[in-house]
Amino acid sequence: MADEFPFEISPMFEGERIRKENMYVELAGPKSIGFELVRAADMNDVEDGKFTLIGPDLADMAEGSRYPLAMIYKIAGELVETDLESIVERRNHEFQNYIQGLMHLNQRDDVWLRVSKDAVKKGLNSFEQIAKAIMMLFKNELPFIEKVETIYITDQAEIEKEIEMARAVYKARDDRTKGLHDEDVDTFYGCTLCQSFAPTNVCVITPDRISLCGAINWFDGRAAAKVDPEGPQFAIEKGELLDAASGEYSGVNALAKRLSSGEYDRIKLHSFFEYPHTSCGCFEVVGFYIPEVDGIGWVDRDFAGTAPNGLQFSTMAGQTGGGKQVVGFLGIGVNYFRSPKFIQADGGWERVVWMPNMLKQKVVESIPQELKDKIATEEDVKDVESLKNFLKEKDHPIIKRWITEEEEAPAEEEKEEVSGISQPQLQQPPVQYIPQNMPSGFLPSVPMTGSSGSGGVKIVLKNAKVTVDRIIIKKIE
Amino acid sequence: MNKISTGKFSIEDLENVQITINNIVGAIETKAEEEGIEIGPTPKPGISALREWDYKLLSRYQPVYTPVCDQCCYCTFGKCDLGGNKEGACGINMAAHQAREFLLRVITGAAAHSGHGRHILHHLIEIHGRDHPIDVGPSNLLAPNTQLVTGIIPKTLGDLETVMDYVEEQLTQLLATIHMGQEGSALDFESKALHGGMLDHVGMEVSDIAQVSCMGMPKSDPETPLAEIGMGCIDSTKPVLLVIGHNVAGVTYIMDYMKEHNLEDKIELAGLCCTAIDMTRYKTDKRSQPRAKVIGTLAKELKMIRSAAPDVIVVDEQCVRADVLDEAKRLFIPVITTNEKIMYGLPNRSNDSADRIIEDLSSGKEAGALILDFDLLGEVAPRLAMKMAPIREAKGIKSLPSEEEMKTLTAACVQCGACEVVCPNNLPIMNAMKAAVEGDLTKFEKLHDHCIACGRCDPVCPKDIPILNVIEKAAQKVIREEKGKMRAGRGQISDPEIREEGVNLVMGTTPGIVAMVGCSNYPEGTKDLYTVANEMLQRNYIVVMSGCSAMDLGMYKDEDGQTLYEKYPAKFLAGNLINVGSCVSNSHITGTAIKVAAIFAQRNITGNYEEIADYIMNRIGAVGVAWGAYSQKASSIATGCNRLGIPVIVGPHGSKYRRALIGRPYNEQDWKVYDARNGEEMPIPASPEFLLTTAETIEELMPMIAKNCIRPSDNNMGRMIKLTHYIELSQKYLGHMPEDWYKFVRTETDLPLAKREELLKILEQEHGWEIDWKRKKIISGPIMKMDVSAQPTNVKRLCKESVC
Amino acid sequence: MLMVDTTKNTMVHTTWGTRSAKPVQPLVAAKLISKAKRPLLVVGSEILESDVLSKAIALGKKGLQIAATGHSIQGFKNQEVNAKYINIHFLAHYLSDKNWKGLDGNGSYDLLIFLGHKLYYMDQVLSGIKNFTDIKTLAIDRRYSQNADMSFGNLKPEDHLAALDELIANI
Repeated sequence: MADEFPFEISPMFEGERIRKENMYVELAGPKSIGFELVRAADMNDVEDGKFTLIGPDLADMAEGSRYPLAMIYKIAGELVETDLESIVERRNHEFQNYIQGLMHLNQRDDVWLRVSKDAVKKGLNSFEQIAKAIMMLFKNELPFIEKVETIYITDQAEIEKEIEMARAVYKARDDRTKGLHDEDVDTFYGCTLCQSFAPTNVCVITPDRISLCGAINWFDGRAAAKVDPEGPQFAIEKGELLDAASGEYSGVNALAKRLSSGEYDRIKLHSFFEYPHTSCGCFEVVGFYIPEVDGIGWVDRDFAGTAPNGLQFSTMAGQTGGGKQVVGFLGIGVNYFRSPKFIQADGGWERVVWMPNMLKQKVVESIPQELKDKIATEEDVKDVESLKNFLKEKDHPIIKRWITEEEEAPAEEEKEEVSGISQPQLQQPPVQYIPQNMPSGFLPSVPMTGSSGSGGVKIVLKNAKVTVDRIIIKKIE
Repeated sequence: MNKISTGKFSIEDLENVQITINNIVGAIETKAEEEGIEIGPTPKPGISALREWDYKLLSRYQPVYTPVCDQCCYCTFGKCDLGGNKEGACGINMAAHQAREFLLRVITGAAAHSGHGRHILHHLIEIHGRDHPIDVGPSNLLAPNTQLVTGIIPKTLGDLETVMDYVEEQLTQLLATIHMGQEGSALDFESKALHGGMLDHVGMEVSDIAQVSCMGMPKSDPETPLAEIGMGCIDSTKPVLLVIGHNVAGVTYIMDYMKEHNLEDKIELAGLCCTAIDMTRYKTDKRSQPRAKVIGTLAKELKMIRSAAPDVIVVDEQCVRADVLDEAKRLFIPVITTNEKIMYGLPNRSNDSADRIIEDLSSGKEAGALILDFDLLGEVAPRLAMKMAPIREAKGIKSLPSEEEMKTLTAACVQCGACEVVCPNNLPIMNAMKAAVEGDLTKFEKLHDHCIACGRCDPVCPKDIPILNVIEKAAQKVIREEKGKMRAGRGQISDPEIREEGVNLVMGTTPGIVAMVGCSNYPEGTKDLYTVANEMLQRNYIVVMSGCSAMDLGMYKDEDGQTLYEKYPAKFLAGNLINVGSCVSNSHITGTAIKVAAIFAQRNITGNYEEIADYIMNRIGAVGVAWGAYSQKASSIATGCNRLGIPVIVGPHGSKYRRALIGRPYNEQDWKVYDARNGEEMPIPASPEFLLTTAETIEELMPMIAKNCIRPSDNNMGRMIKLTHYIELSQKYLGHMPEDWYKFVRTETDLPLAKREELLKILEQEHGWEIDWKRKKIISGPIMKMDVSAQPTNVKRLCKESVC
Repeated sequence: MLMVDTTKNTMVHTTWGTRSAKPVQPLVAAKLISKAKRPLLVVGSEILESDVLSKAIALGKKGLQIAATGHSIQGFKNQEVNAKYINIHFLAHYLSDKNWKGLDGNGSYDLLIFLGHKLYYMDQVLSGIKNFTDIKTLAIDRRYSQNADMSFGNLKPEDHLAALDELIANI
């Protein structure tokens, strides 16, 4: 609680809601106009700590009234660049909420603020007090900001003049984000924040691959690495491009070995099957390989039902994570569906055969038009058999792979074709693709030909309960 | 095909036949191998299997003994005075005897839970069969405690039987060490106590997952319905059927009978203690309204009976007053006992007819009956209640004094102070009596909330004032307003919820997990829970409740008339309030910690206790608070948490457990771990500072909670948020900056944001640290380096390239 | 000055054993404190609810080091006494460690004086100190504390304040 401010500043006020009855004044919001904007500027153009107000101040506003509000911050510093603007801007929301008696909702030109009566009673009477607190917090958290200046506008006409400029800036940022790809930058960012729980997990964050918890994108990583290059987010020189399709880079590989404490030494950023990117435990979606159709299904955390392979999210999720590379399962954030390089190495969307309907709706704009109806959901199929038929019916591109595989079957050693070849002992299910903690009673549809023992083994069954569905007794002719 | 004769057949082909095999003799390992599961080093550990881990804990957190009695009276050599840590006739000294006493408490608690578990399991298997699947919600890890300790991964009720076999065998072995002339080392008694605590969590887990799977109880449901709670909720114009205890098995038959015979609106079915909590869980998994009301904790037992409102009392087991029958007799309330653990000397009528029992009890011929047959119980209790209500109404039975009588009674007080000496809380009864004489009842109203209705005051009054009745009558207005809401227990935390919360734990948005559990022997009344939970929830802690604490929390409302359960959602997420359920649901709290290790770090939890406990102690910022702990069960629950590295704070009455586990932050050697990456030693902050201790007041408690959520592996966002709350809470409730805050600072990014500059100045001026003011970086000073990739561990064998 | 007899009433509910605190008069208590080389006044949260707080402050002003347990430290803010917060259970533990340097870094204590705690809590903590350390303890609260070495008897609140005044005057 810094003594120079008439209010307390603490993360505990983040969830503070100010209702109409307690509101002294409302600023911007749906019934008015406003925006927040951070702009990188030259060192000479910024007067550190300066505050300018255009329009009436808080003390001039009547209780219960509503005013427009624009908040513009100019930042300068050796390491400051335009790419960092949105990172700093997001903190305006966070920090204004830290102030007791001030509520800040939304962002950009949607902002909506309220000041409480209590705060005013305690001595909050000018926007300058708020601005000074925000400037202090900006500098405390992001020391690459060497100078910061603030301009607040509460005059309607003045805001209307500036808001188009602000919107143009937002658009330019969005365009840049959309248009920025792995190939366009030399540096990726690593994040090891969750190593406190998952000791070998490292996320490699690129323009085409957001962190799987969804909290850190390439720009965030860049900003954090500038703040503390030896901290948990740091730069990774991407080095040489080793394989464009799967996204393998020499710089990334070099780091992988060190940061995973030797667990693995290669990462293919956009691959499901080979050296996949690891996850901790908080991934939102898990992808699973369905060998019977050679396709990949996805299940999200909120889906309570079972996937066509008979397993639930939790069961499959338990197979991956923990910072280990596990083939056959992949944990990702929902945002990765939106990446233009989504599992590029393995065919991208053409390899996707099933996802829950709600998840599909969430990411539907990212699904190529021609595939939208070909990807099954729980409303279409319930098991692998019906999935196969569905895919055939809809002529999903995956069926091309079935034909190719049958031709190639002898050459591929990894996929064991299990058919009705009678063997003397119990067929071992293919180890790679079957989850370890299978619910008892569930077996893949592997026909077992059991016959009388193999190689001198005596089996004693005690208290066994054999439930047989149908016995077919035929007379031997 | 005409006739098929008897004889031998050979099976030619098996198509899609599943053969389920249970209980392969002597082969957990073999079974696991077949399923491809790796078993850790200690499945089904015996007493000495985890001794080294215990010793590690005990070397950092030393036992602190505060005996309740200087004497040992175990054998006929004695009793012996062990004062001053002397030895008794058998050679045992005070320290070892206290450790032994503590062990006895722990295994008593564990036995209570495990006995309950075995009873429920037995009962449910009879009804549903051994193959009934375990269903606790959308999780892969169904029974984390069981899996961790025994290595068994249960899928059906039948699987749980071997688990109970193991628990029971271990408890017998531990009880054997209480005998004369066994262990002589205090430290080894402590290790055995930790073993007992561990067993308790397995026994509890079996109890809860069995009942959740079979009784239609909510399964990891974040939106369970709200139940009505409080003495003020009871409509005593209807027949009141009061149930007291912890084992809901028999009570469900009463509930079913009432439903089938349309008695739900006609009879007021209400419960005290965990039976009540479980009644509100029964068949509410589809979020229907709970079919019973909750009166409250055991502190309300005697007051509820003396109010004369109940028309029938049914008891099962645990935390039930021993004088229920005597008290009930005086008020013509028949008592039915339903469990072998409490029979009160009543005749066993389990094979009798409902009509005859009802006749005998309603006529007053018998004061009660023992009915072990649940079908019979289900019919007798409600029918009896319907019959008793008008009979008792006609008799005009009143226990509490009238207004007139109150004047005489309060005036009779001679201010001798005997009641105050005898009162467990030394409540200011004399002042309240004086005020009441003048017509001011407010002192009694306040006292009523602090009063645990033990009744010790009544017999010592030289003027024979029925003090408890006076308190209750004086507080009648307040009692009528005792109406709250409690969220029905939701059972486990599901795997997907833990994953979702993962981001918060890592980003520091969740400063910690506070589990406020346990009994109702609070030092300053029930509001404390509300104050603490409210404060911590505003600060985004996850607050988990269970048992008596869960009930009392629901009794307070904010200015908008909302209880905290209504105000805050109930997911396992930052700033959420969860009620896991009854006492046995406490196992889900440790279960959650175990799940974190499995889910985030992909640690193998099967039979791998030491590694997981080590993980939890170094990484998971959770603190248990049993503010009103009173029973032996509370000690076993706390001790089970302790063996997993989770610290617990109890209220001041908790000093009567005789034994705390407290560290010495000033002793640097005690605060070191290995870095598993290379086996090197590294210093850690002194947090948690203790495994089990007491706190005096909630003002002291809150900053203590915040500090003790700090863990060695915090990244800077986590550490910064935790430090922020520690400092803010100290300033708010103790009025000062904590003296040791700087010891938790590793780099400048650990410093609370709003005060960063101020704190850097203090570090420089008061502690001589070097600061680079241009870049606002700390150059020297901290004894700990910030390295989020470091892997703190206490267990040398888990280190790479280490010499084991 | 009105002399209060603080040894009259030593009623207890239950006992720990054969050892019981010697009931003492305020004068004796004062002498004990004066003679001690390293006395420590251990104050609990109950003082914040009564006039006893001013007595505790007065004792502090006489030079006594104060261990403020619970949240009693609030009462010593801006009072120019040497008071430090510590959890009472931790204190009991550290006191049994010969290597503990005390609250001020100058070593452990030879006399502990207790004031302002709930009786049952104080008795429990004192049970630990009694059995596992050699440190002398003096309870000057208004209830008889069995496990201290010396204690006031049970007193009415007014008598208690008077007794404390007498004690302070004689240090």
